Amino acid sequence: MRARRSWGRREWQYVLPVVVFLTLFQIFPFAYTGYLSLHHWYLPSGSGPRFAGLGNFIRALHDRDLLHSLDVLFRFSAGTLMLEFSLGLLIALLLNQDLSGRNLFRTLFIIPMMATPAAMTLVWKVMYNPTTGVINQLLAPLYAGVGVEPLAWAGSSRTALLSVVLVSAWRWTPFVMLILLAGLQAIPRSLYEAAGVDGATSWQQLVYITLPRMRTAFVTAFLFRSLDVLKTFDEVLVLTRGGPGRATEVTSLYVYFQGFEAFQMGYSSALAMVLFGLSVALVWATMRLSRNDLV
Amino acid sequence: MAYVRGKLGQHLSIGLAYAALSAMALLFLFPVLYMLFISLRPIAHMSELWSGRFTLDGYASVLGRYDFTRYFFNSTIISAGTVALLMVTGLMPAYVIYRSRMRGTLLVILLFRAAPPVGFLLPFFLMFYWLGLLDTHLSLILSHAVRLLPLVIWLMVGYLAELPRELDEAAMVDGCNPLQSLLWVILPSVAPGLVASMIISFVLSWNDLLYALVLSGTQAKTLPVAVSGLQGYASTEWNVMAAGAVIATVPALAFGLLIQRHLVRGLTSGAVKE
Repeated sequence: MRARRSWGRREWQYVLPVVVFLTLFQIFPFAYTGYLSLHHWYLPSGSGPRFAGLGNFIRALHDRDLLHSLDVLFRFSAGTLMLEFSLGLLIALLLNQDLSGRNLFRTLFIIPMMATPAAMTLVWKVMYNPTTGVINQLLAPLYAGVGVEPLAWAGSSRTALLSVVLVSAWRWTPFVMLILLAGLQAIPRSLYEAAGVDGATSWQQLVYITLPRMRTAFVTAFLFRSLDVLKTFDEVLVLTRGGPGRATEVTSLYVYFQGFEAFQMGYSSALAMVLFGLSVALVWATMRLSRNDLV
Repeated sequence: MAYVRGKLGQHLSIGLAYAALSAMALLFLFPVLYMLFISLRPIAHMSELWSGRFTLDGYASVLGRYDFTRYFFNSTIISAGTVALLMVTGLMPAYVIYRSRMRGTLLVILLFRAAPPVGFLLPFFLMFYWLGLLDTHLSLILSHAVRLLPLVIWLMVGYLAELPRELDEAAMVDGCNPLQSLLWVILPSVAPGLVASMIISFVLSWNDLLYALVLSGTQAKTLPVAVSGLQGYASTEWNVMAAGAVIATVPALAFGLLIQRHLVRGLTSGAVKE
């Protein structure tokens, strides 16, 4: 019978260095951001932070640029998550078949996830070039056939968000696919065989056997991805820098610009706290809705 | 004809599945293949898809003129340092959490992951500025490690949970202290998972852009920052940009592919009902 706390206090001594490390480099900095969020601080002015109470947060409530960034973030998230989950599920279903060489396929599919985002986004940017990019080159017959102008992809405020969504979905679909595949593989084959004997169609098997049992996998994938999607920064920065105009300025980009270009340190910190609050709310909502004891 | 069991059942022949998978694989791999292709092209023939000319000029340029050898070196040092620091700081907490089975701590870890990296930029910048550590490898190692720590602990707890109970008993019975039981009993068995965590951390550290952008200047500049900087200088020299991209990507890819099997296990340890 395993004793539960047989080490008593000694085990915590070993964790102490880590706790110190975390406190110094996570908790203090974040607390500092929280502290700054209650101050006004225009960095080049030379004078330090001035206490402002909730002033920054009140300003945030009326800030249309913030609202716009949240709207962009929401549309971006919806787009990329829908693509990731539908494609991810499709590929996972395919890979769940007893095909030889499926490990090879799985290995190949993981590549977009591992490849350095800064580099790959640059490649996408080159591919997206409206005149010399390979995407429009390959689509030229299609454009001619349908009779439309070639899309400007990252260069037009109409299509910029779509372009960013595609890059993001390209990168993260493998991730979702992996998690969904693991969930799929945990479902015993015997269930399908029994259902087959009873005359269930593939569609019925999908809906009544597979999907219900994949709930944990879906929730896990969603939790991971939605948290990350709120923090999206790298891809957008390299591809469009928030533009054209502000068409792709997601919230974390807005926070970054407020801090490192407008030098509004206090306001930028407050916005970071807002973003954090959003993430926490998301975690809470997901855990409640899924009624899952994931941890 | 092999009988295809599984979800899409009798209605999907093997051939169709292969065709679909191949098409998807090609689609997903296209950017990477294109990057490789472009990096080997001479500038004059850049946009042609079918001509047979290839050259290593892009690589020569990017390594020499654009200083990528130094950035490669920087990235390697920083990522390796990050992994080392994470191993030292992540293993014990993972082991302790796993042993004491405090399920709430995993929620705490999730909360740590909820904190947006942008929120740390300013404090880190100021802190490292005051410490005189801006534009050094150390500042990036510290910031990467602390950001990846929750993930590493999460993964290690997952890998530890796969170990058989008897191993635990063995570790406890001898009355050795936690450090000893970790090192001598547990580690050898969880070595694959440990290696996987190390490699994942390496790749994630290697790929970081945000912190490297803010905390490094010219000395400690990493490959991702350098590659994104190529946009301005080399905007017409696609082969240079692509060569830089390839150099930046290949190590991360190579390592990542090495452990992809374990990556799946670690990521999904919470996703599958045991």
